[in-house]
Amino acid sequence: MVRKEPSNEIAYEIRWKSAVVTATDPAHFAGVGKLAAVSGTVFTHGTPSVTFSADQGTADKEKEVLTLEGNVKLTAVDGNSVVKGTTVLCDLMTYATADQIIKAEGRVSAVSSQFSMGPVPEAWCSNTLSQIASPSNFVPVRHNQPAPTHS
Amino acid sequence: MTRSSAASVLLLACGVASAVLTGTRGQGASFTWGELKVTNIDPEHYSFDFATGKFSILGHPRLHATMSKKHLTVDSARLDGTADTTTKTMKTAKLSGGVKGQMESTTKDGDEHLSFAGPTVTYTSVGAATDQLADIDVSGGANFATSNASLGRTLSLSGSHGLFRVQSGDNAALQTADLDGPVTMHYDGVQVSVDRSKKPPVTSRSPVSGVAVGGHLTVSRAGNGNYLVRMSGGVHLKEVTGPNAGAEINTTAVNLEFDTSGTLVRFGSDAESTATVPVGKARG
Repeated sequence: MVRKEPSNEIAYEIRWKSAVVTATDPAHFAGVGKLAAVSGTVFTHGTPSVTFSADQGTADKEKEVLTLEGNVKLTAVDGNSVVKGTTVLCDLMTYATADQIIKAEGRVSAVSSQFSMGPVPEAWCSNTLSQIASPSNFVPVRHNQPAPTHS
Repeated sequence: MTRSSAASVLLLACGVASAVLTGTRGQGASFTWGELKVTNIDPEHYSFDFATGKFSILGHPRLHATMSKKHLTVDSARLDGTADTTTKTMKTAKLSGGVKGQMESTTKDGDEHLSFAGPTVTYTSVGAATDQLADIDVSGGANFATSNASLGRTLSLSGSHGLFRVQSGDNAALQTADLDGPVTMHYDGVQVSVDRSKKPPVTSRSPVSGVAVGGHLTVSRAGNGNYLVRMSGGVHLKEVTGPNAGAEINTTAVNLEFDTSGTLVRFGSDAESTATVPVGKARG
């Protein structure tokens, strides 16, 4: 499944091994559903920036929110970034194309060749993983991102 | 279920919920970057920007930072820093909220202990990473001390503001200092005196301690490594223990010289002075 931003740039790409979709909700078919053993890629300005994997996930087409649950692993892959190789681990992750902030919850930790941090109950990350902060300290303007949507 | 057993279950449930919350909130997070390790971070107040090397951390309630190669430990409420993303070394760190820092090193004269404290401390690496030099700028009331238990020597300085250049690492030592007044200096150690009336001159070592207050104080290093301390701006100095215990001097400026182990080897004033010496202590 490929989710595109309004600019027609790819926001993220998700793959899975099996899926359960609620048949009584055809409007959300192929949009919402438990996808098992998911993996995929988040794109920033059309370039792969973060790869991910998790036990399961949902991609809500209507809300344009990607949710990953269970053994979530995110890895920065942008070859031009100094944080390439940075890995974030957590229990739950949501990524909305509206604000492009990776919101990680549950035993969040991050590690790279340069640093390690955690565990924290919650962290917001830029979609390149170059910035990791508590929700109250996240500064989206540094990355020219839209204002965050606090849920 | 009776009313009392229902209440017990409710209390138990509340207790479990409370314990879970306490456990989550009570655990400080940790962060490492190069040789910097910070523990007891508030898990709700932190920010790392790895592209620029900037980070901001609150303690839980106080954070503990160590830089192992520099033998440096710091405790404070907050840390805002910038690290070099290439060399993985700390460039600057602004610490605030009851800052207390320590440096330790083992020298040929015994364990050297340096400490600094103040409301706000800015730590800046100086020179190349291998130089292990750093400027420690303490504002809002500065305290600095260096001591060596093996030598029985303690020098402590306090002022309204202080800038200290220190050599960290295996040879931790104060290099220079500049304190704004009112400055207070306490010294407890050994004084070397040379009696030149004897042929040949007789050198003696005696315990000495004293306190001095003034308007400004600087510490610099002489070519032979000795420490040159100059206190100026209206100085009042009193020898508490030692050969001239009780003696007091009022002067414009005093110069003290300590050798590399911290022994007082020279004392003098290059300005008009008045001295009061207790009866029986005056020497001809």
